[in-house]
Amino acid sequence: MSVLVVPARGLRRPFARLAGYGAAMGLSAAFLVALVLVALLAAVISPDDPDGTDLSAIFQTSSAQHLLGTDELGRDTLSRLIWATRVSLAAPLLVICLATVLGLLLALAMAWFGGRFDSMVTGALDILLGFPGILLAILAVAFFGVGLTAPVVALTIAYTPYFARLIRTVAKQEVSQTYVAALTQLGYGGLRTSVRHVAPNILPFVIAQAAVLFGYATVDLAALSFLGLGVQPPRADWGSMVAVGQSGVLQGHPLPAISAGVIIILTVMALNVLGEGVAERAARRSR
Amino acid sequence: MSALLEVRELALAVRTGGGPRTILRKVSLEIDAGEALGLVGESGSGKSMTARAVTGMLPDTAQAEGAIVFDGVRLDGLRGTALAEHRSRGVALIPQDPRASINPVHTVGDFLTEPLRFVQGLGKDEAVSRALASLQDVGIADGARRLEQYPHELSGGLLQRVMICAALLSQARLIVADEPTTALDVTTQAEVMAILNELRVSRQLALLFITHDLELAAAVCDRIAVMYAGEIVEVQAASELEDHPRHPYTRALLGARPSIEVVTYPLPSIPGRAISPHEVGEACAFAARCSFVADRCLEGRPELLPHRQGLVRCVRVDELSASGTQSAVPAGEAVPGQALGSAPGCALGSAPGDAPETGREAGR
Repeated sequence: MSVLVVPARGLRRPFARLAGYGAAMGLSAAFLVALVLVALLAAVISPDDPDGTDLSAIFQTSSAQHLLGTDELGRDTLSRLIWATRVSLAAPLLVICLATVLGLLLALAMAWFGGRFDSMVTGALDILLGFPGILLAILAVAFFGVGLTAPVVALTIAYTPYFARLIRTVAKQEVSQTYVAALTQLGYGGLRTSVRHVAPNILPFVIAQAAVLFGYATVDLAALSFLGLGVQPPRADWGSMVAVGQSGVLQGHPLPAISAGVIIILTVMALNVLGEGVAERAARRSR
Repeated sequence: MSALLEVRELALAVRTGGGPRTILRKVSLEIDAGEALGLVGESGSGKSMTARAVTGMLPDTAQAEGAIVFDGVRLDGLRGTALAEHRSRGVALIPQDPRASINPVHTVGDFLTEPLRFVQGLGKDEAVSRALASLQDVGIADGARRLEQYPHELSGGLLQRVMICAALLSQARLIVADEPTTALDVTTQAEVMAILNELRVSRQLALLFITHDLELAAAVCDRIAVMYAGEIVEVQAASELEDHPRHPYTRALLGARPSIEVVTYPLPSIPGRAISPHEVGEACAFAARCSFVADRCLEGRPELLPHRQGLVRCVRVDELSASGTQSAVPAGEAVPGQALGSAPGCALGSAPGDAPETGREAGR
């Protein structure tokens, strides 16, 4: 996210600021931070080999050795969940980063140039919005084969309009501010004004939208993996763990599928709470 | 000496849903290098639009005719980088509301040094030291601390000084100040104006000063142009204008100033309402409110013609000057029983004669 200039002061006191956000936002933020730590430290905290099969110990329930039991091949569910966190977070993060940058640049250009360019791009974005992201991703997989690349590219394209449309509205308001005219008066061009001056002012809206859409992207990618179009075995993400766990559910061993599903739900909820909280604060501030 | 800025017969219309709407009609003015010209008039008389034309900031919907020549270059043909060059180095604008005109997410230091670095191509240290020196010039002693601060941490007066600072740093030869003290507290107004004026004089900068405040304009400017309904009705040396206003509108304006010594109630005012430029027909624009109106005034639009040392747009100016209807005598008193004598507007005659004197003190 190299284009986004985060005001330095905001970063220096994250915990002090977080305290003022209320319990729900605080919990959500804490949960997400914990997830990131889990993903980063997977090698350290994972109790077992995530791919190590043990056919003598399949479908075990929760025990001291396997906190979340084992799956149909006797693999430790907790370890698999921990390792799956990496790809389950990284893929949507990549989608959201790319879509944010693309959407922000498009929105700034639309707000700056206005007129015909604005209406043409708006029209094109509306057409893109007509396609469900997941359908686009399935089409992409059909063309480019299974794996993460095609879904990430397709979802980036599908999510960019959501950013561009929303940010365009905010950016347009910002561009009509007096200080932007004052910058033009100083002889600054559109690129400098937009990227260095307008973008930081609309950053709260961008972050809010990114957080909410991060949740959607997580669900979409999990769905693709569930359909077997995303991450391929033996690697796993949460979506594919739910899929693999299906057979266990039918045989009365729902723990692997449920634990992956619960993590997905919690993550998306945390992202939503966080995103809406930021959006609300941004709207309150700009009023 | 050829003028630094020359506006020649600038006519301006803005496209609206109901066709073009006149904003300015044939405005001509000149500013020499180092000269201060005041532009006064009521709201909607076209002062700010004139300023926007001069700074190259006309809205997209504006259709301009005529010419603006700055330092030998015509502005109307400028596009792209040449226009940006004019905006960044030719003229500097001191805005009406400094707080709205500065990006709230960047520090004062960023605001001051960014143009130095990216327009003038200075290094970071050089830019910072220039900014510090310039802050010193506008009377901000703890510049190093101010550079680190955000706009919301500064008072309005301080922020306006920062704006003056930015104008000076741009090395522009013409400063356009659009009601620079309107958003400020009265006590800071004088301070800010004093700083602006002092620096302008010491650096020989030209100034286009837009204001509602005739006395302030007279105190700061060499010459004053009075605008009414999109045209200039009078241009005079500042002291001459205060003592001997020639155009009936200027007289009425001077007469309508409240005095600090004498309480008048109701406050003197000019009868009628200020008309918009697009409402002016084929008659003198001020005729409807003028206490000297005659049949001739309604027979066509008067020209802006030389009168004594200045320019006046009034067909009766010679008669009015000759019949001694002015000098230090307030306008209304000298013409008893004139056209609007019984209207509430005769209040402009009720302004006591000391009003011009207060003005004269301010002028020195």
